[in-house]
Amino acid sequence: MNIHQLNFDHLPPLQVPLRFFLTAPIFGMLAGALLLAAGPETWQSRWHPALLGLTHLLTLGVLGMVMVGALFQVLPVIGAAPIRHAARLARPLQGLLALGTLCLSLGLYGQNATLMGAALALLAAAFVLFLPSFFRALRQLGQCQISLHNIGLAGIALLITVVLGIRQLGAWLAPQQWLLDRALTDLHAGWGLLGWCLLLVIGVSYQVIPMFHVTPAFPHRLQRMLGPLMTLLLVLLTLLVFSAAPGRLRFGLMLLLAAGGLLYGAVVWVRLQQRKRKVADASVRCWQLAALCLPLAAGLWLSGQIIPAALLFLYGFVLTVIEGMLLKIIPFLIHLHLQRQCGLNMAAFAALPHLHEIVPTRRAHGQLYLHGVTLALLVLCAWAPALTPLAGVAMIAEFAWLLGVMARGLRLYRQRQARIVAQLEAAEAAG
Amino acid sequence: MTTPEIHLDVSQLEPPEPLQRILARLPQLPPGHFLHVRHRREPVPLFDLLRQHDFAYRVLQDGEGAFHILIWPCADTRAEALCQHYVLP
Repeated sequence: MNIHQLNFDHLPPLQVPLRFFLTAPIFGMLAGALLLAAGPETWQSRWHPALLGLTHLLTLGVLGMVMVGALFQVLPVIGAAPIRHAARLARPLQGLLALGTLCLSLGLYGQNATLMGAALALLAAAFVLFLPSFFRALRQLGQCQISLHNIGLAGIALLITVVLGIRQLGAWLAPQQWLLDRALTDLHAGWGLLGWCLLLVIGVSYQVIPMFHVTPAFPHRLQRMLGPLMTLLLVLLTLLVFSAAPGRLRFGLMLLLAAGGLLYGAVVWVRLQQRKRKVADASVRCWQLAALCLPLAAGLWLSGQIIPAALLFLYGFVLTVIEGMLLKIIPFLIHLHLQRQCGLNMAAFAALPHLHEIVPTRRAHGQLYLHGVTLALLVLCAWAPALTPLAGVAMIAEFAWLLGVMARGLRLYRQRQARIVAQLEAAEAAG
Repeated sequence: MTTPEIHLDVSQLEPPEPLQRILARLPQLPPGHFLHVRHRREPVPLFDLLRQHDFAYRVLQDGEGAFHILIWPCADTRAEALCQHYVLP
């Protein structure tokens, strides 16, 4: 069975994913700035306004931006139809998501009803714009694709996350109409992190790890069963929240979810050990770091230490994977889009950059080190809050570096594109 | 007599090298010859480019799951006949 089928025939323009990728580090820097402003009291409680603001700057502003941008590019690549009218959809979607995230994070931080109301409208509009196109693209499969099924489950999880989030925002704004139930906030976080983020990473990784790192395919049974099982466990956990079931039943489900995550992390580790090219680039190290963070996050979660568990999962697992994939995907996309412009003109080929020219090894490793330092500081903040300003500075530096890496790649793209055009024009004039 | 089949194994290369190497070999194909590419994935990014530049292709898959892509110029009827009747060993 062909589980590596990729389709580049309907690639959107490079600007479509890039506009989202370039926005993400700006939100990362804002998150660092919020940490600097809020200081050590951020970690006093998981309901602290600063922590809520920080969480949404990272989840929506950084992770959400990159994931939406990547889906524009990845869906047509792994066998779904492309998201229709991608170029036309991207700009308003980016604007709504960016403005909505800003209003939500500042609104939560400042407990400001006007900003929260604006966030409700903007983010609801953003997801109303995105989700139907996303699901439509997934429906138009030529054949069954396991990755797409997992990504579809992630999409359903995102829908649930958004509905719960909107409901909670509505309850905050209109407490007379709706009760602000913290159990629903827990579900919102659970579906967002373990549903949307984890399932999306899992589904995409089944393609990108074998593709970019020349590893064997993931076990077929794992691909077919892990995503649906994790989703079922989340559904059962959701039902338990509304029932009077004993706590040990809930703990049992959490244990099974953690086991699923650990199994996935272990398989990722093993597959990367089997890669063809033994030299570990920054992207491989990111996957390895992410795989190591999963059991640590799971252990902290099961022992009730929610804040460090969430930090390790969000920053240690999801964001590490995201950054590792960006370090691979950005040079690949830039190269691919330039390659397509060359056609078969050998003289134009000479203008194509090597991947390490687009994102130099030194810069990729710099990204990894800055990320590692920020992660370590953030997790330590849970026990030593005095480190918060340092963590804020590190976060700003990390995302500034990432923005620099991407901007440099884009600059190189434009330079080489001009050279390719010149070569093609010269060939046409000579021919 | 030289074989009309030119082999290129890109199955252990990371992207974008497979695409680059294939495209670099195509203009060098002598008349009556075809390129036989061995790949671990179906290189669909390539197909759009082949069609644009008047190359035809045929995809076969062996028992180990590897892909074999036979590529020839559309105008080369001799190479086309060889590829259409080609059977993997």
